[in-house]
Amino acid sequence: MRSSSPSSASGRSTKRSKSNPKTPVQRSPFADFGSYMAEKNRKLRSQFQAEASTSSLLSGETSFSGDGKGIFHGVSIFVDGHTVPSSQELKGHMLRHGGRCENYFSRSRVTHIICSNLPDSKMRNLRAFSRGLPVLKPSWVVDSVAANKLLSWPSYELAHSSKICKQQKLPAFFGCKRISSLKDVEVLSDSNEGTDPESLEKFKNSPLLQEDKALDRRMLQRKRIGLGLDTEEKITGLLDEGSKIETSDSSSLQLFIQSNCHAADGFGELTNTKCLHTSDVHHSTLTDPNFVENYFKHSRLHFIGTWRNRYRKRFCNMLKGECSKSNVDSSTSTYKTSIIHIDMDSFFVSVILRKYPELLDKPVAVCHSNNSKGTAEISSANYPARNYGVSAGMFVRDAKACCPNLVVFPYNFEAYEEVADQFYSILHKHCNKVQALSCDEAFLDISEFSDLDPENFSSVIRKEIEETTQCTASAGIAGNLLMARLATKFAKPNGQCYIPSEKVESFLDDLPITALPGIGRAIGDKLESKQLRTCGQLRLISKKTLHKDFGAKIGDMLWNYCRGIDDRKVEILKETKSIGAEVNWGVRFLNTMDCEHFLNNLSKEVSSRLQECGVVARTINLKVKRRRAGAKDPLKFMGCGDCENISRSMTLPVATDDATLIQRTAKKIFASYRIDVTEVRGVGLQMSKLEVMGTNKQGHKHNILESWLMVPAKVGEELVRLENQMDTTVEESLSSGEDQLAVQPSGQLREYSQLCIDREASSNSLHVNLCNSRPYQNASPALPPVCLLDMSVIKDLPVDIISEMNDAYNGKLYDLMRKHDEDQKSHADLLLTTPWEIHKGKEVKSETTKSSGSTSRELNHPEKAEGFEMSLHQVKLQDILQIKSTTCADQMVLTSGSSSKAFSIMQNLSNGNLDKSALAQGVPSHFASVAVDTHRNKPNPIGPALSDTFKINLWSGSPPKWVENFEVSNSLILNLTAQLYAKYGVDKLLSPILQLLISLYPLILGSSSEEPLEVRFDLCELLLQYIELKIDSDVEELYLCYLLLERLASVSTVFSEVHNIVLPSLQASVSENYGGTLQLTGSRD
Amino acid sequence: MDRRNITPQGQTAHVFVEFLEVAVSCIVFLKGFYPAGAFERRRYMNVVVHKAKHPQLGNYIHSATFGLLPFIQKGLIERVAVIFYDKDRVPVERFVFKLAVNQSHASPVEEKSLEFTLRAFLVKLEVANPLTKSLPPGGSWEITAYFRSLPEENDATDGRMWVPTDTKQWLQPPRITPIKSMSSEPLKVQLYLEHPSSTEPMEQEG
Repeated sequence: MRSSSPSSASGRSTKRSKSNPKTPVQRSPFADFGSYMAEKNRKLRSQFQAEASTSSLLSGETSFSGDGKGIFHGVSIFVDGHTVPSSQELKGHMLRHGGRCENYFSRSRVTHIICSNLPDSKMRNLRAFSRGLPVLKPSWVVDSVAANKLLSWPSYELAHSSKICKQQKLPAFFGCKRISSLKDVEVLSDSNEGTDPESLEKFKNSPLLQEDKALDRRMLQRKRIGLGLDTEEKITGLLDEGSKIETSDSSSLQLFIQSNCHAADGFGELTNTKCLHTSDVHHSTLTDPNFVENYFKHSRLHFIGTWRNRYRKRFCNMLKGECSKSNVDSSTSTYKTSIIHIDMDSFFVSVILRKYPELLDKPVAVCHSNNSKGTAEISSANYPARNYGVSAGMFVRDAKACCPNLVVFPYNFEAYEEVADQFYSILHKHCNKVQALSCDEAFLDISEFSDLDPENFSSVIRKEIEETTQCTASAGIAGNLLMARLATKFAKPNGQCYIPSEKVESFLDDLPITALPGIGRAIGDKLESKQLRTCGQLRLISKKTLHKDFGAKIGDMLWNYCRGIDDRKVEILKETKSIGAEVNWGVRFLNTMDCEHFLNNLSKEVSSRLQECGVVARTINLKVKRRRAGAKDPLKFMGCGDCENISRSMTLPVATDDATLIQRTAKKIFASYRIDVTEVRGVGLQMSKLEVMGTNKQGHKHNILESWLMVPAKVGEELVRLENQMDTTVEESLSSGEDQLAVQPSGQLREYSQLCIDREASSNSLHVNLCNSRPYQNASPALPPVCLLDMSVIKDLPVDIISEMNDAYNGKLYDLMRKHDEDQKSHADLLLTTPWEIHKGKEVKSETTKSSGSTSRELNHPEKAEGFEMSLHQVKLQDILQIKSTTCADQMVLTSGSSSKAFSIMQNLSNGNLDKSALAQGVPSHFASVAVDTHRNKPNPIGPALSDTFKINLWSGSPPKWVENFEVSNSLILNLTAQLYAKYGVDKLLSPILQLLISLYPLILGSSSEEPLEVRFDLCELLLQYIELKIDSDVEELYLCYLLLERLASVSTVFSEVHNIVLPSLQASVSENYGGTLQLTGSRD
Repeated sequence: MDRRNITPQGQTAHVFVEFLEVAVSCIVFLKGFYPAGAFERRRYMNVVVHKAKHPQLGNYIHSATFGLLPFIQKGLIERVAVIFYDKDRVPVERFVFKLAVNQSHASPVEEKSLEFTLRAFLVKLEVANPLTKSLPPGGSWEITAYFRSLPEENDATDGRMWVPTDTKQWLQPPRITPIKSMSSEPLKVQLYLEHPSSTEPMEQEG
């Protein structure tokens, strides 16, 4: 959409001066579309301006660069289509940084177009679309904000990258392979150069993926020439930052860097190298064993965490392939579950020892550092070392004390990964139900190989593992996961143990309870206090007691486990629930900048992990460890010490893996904590509500077009229904020969075709139909087929119209009419008597048939027909009044003099000697006054009287009876009411109908229309019965009806009379039921 | 209260009594009898309502309405009125809930639809201010229930909370302004306002 008014890019003022004078002068400010748009654009801009001033005030950010203007000063963007971040966010950026955001494209005002995607056609004619303006990716805005300066845009041009970001091509799916091979090369080069453990350690954290090669080279270079020689400006800048945590020890930083190994700016690497220099100084400060244990766990968790993704990726295809194989195999299975738990022996050490076969029988351990005085903890020790009493979690210092000739190696994660991959390749080769527990530990479900000897099978696997990896593995074989795992403990090292189901009990008898998985120190101590140590003892305790002491869950577990029961299944892959990264070590910030920088790196890390797994996440959780007030310095240097955890999450509208978005959200959450950054001891960023990349892109699959098409179809249906209904009413009214109504069909005809093309007409149709005097100028574009025409309608059209129509139908119409005439004559009597019967009941039937018989032959003469109608009225009126006068006779006599005249008229009426004029004019008013007078003297005689007369419950049935009656009546008001009810009436409520009547009435009938007296009776009867129906259940509705009736009374004499008749009985009913009278509008004070 | 094995009447009564408590709070708030600060915004049936913050006021409304529960269940209550008096304890304005519980209704109650219809009352009440009259200073208010028949004496402790009242009545039939009506088997409720008739002899102040 383009604004037609030209104005300069910065010409807001000229714009205003142009459009403003218009507004006050003209009655409608928008003479045409152009001026409307100009005004709208102006308004949008001033809103934007107002928001900008408030938001910059509120945020108080340092968003303005030196000259006091925002970084986007003079920039005006137009966001086209869906972008990430959304146009709202981009607008927000522009708001805060002095830019502008246009809602509508204008060549003169917009300076940059921002969009993420462009359709192919626009891509090809980019110049035509952009009108010469730069078309940029939204990251330009985001990056500019991040850099706090306006970046040059050419590198962000969409056209630039279109070849890449357009449709995903086949090679993209092989992308990961390419990357991993690239990584292999890196690993190779690392291991070539790094022969001594120290350098290996230095490089084990080398960036894994997506690191640009330049950085790699730089790192290699730095490794050779040391720290100070790097002349790159960036690095020196980073040096300063690095020095802030100079004093941290190497172990802490190792972890730190590991979590941030994807940080692109070399921050991690730099501090790593630095800290290796200073690490020795601080090792002696370590005293807290628990903390060390936590740290160790963390480190392993991290390795396993990253390993698991790798495993998933690597074995994904294999898993799928084997699944199909398993289907074939399982057909022969006998469901004797057999589980093998296979575990590498001292994995972390064995892998290292592959290169040092001479050390195989020497005590060896793995640790960060070989410093004999240090308190770095042993991560794993081999069996010779274990014989000396060295165990995992020990400090190097202590370990060296018990085993002076202990050789300590650092981790070699690359080697671990390699071995783990080999290990799993072998497992998958032999068995297709593999549950990976860790990088060196897995469950195999071999129940499908029923003919196989499990011991034999596992020894084959173990042998192959040993041959391939030069590391040994142990296996436990049993009926379920629990027993297999327990068996492995007895099989170690390098052995295997088979527990057949009959031996389970004896095996468990003497097993300490704490050896069971899932039973920790807390439960162990509790059991200990009850003198329960072995599973055998535990078995004597009833389930109930266990439930009482430990709760249902743990109680069940204990009860099952001590009996060797475990019904878990071998699961091939567990669904990942969340992905994140957490750093609890070495986190010290001096100021907000540090913190933001750290969050940036953490976000990048998390983002890359998400990308690695090919998922996007919606919820971001930021966990912050904050030093507890009054906490002492942590025992371990740079540890987190005594902390309180603060955690908050935020859910994004769209799932993302975008680092900047994550980073921004993380910062927002962090800001919401309002804590002093110097107190922060740990930060964890976790993403949950994961979605697989592919699925969220199909989210908009609901076909909007389809739903759009559905709507007109439905409306069309309704139209047809309405059409039919109107045909019948028109037919009815015309069959009685009312000249006045004869024009109607022409409208009907035209309307038919109109309705078909116009949806709106459905609401108007009724109106149009009833405005019979209105000329229909526009000829219908298409005629309905001749067979669909209603002959009874056509026949009554004026002759010239019929001839015109006949021409339109090429003469077929006359033929049809003739034919119809003959048919109709034979049915004439029937047609006329039917509605009459409904109205009158049996008493007057004979009379009616007589009169209709006399008039039916002269149906084509309007005057006669009218006369006939009047006679009908007479008969009816007479009938009503006869009964009425008998019921009310004694009251009438008692009425005052003023009503005596009316009474006499009524007497006349009942005798049936009334002439036409008296009926049309005199009676209604007199009758009304009589009625009112009667009511004043004694409440509600007329209501019951009328009801008694009819003895028909007008409101019974669905639709209510009166609708039918009114439809066949020849009064317009009644027809209209019935039609409105048929169309809009719900739940037998009258108020909506009355409301519609108010708006329709003047249009259709005007205020001066004459209606036969009968109509008043029908309406009164309807309302009185309605009051009866609703008085005890819905006085609100009655009140509403009354108010509406009052309004109707002001436009229609008919309703004003009806109002006057009904009101007293309404008040009477109310006072009977509620002990008061309705508050009337007239008497409000 | 155990809601599982009770009659539809009991179920309805429980919902209604709960509603009544909220509605009465809303009425008192609407009339501005206490400063607006004495109420806090709450959400009930997904509508913003006002709840008395003062424990005594809240308790009065709560105990009065919940005290009606057994009687409503039995269909003994005909009307519940929130009456505002002037300083001479002459009623100025009455908010009347006229209710009817169909005792023969047996099918279980659609609690959702019942709540849906009752919610309309609260919505309407929030905007009913123009219908009401401003209160003279120094007035008071109370909740009065009209029983179809007097509860039996031995009828548990709940009944004792309700004492016969000698509230002054208007001499003329009042004028009624309906506010809201509902009918959801087995419960029918009408809420309307009663004002003294214009012919009512009113003692002028001073």
